[in-house]
Amino acid sequence: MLCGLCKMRPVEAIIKTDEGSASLCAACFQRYRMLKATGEIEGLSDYFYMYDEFNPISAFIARSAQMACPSCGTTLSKLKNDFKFGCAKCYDFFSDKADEYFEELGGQEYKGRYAGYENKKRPGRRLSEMTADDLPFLMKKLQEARDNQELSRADAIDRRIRQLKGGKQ
Amino acid sequence: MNIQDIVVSSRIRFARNVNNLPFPHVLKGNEAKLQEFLNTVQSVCASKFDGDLYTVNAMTVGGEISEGADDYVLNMLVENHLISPALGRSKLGGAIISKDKTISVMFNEEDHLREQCILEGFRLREAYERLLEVDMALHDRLDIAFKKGLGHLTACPTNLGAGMRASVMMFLPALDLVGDLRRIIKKYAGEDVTIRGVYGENTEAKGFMYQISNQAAIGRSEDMIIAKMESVVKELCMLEEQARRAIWDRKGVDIEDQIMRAYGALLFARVLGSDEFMINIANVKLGVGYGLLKLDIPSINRLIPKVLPYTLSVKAGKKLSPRERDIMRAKIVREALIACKTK
Repeated sequence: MLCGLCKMRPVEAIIKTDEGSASLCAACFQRYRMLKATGEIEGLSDYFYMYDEFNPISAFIARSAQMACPSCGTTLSKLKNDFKFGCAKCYDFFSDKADEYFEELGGQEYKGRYAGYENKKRPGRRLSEMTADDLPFLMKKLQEARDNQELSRADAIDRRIRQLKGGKQ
Repeated sequence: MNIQDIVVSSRIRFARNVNNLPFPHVLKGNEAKLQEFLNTVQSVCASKFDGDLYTVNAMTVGGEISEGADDYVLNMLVENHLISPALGRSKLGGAIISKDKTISVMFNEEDHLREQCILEGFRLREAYERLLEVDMALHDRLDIAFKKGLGHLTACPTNLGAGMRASVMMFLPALDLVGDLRRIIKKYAGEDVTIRGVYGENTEAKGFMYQISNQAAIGRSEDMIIAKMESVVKELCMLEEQARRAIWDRKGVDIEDQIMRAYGALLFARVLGSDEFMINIANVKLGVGYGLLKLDIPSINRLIPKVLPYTLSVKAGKKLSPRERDIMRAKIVREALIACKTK
């Protein structure tokens, strides 16, 4: 049975008041409780009136209730509940909501091995694939690793430089 | 200090998704694009390693029909850390596992792809380089979901960015016994490093085996994650060494007695329960660390997964009762301990 209000999601709560009863999905039920608690509606009839298609406010509210990724259908409330994006396009669709959260997680830009992959650029070559022609590049990388205190990385680069200088490929 | 005696194995895992296909928890299973994706994964894996296909349910992957592995096989793969427990609950899930069991490419777990390379000992960087070969080939053939700034897009945002988890399985009996682990876990949690029981989240450590891994990947490069993990592992090894010395100084004879009794029990038992085995083998490993027993630690580490309940049943080719398993375990352990004696 679908929610009596949004007609989209399954019923999860039944509200019984003096005005009558309504079967609502979790999202519409939560919104009902919130609007009632903040005094924006007095009861069920007010709530249903807000969603009336002839009510100009309803269009806005309905849009936010149905705010769902056009590609996979993941809604904002589902994203908040499950903490999972439904597809790659969700990252664009919910970007204004998610960006704050990414900031909290650390926020820095990804600068790893695949940086630039959005343009289908292959990640950098591995150390073992480097040849003597790459020695100047490796010396630069060694200095960078030392400056950034990436000691194990510096060790690995140093080993490769010594191998290449010793003529080992 | 011998790090290789404390570090059991090193694992690198990548989480990847493709564009134009809903993430697995939304996936319905009838998309033509899903079949195309699975065929490509199978073809890339076949070009990179010799492997076997396992699926949770019957499905076709790359022209190969898989009947769907039975629960015993799936649980055996979980016990051996070749698939995650979550994969077994995914209707469209499966994995392609290399014959040497070092590389596993899971599909339709939490993300479309969970690639992992697991190597014995402390070899995180080597595991990373090996897995990168498979990963780069997958990037060449698939439309991998990636966004400038964020990096690899994953179902759960905590895996964003490098989409990488580096984990190391460590044997930390002394830190556990002296009660220092709680404090250490708290300290590393603040540095985005998690320490937990070896069978994953919300489980206790069996046989003092702990998994140490990075928590978040966002904003971090692969090198940064590996370097951080390497420094944490080295520090933990040093702390474990110190704790072992402290225990020995306080009650050396009691520890020696405990170790020798454990060794005797494993050598002579004819019926050996799983928990009893885990406790005793941990004591035997500790004995090797103290120099009381001359046994090859990597061989002991390889023995442990071989005598886990589902692995025994799969080896026997039939469902074994607990008692049958205990008898079979006792025999395997006895023979293995004799074989792994060193001079």
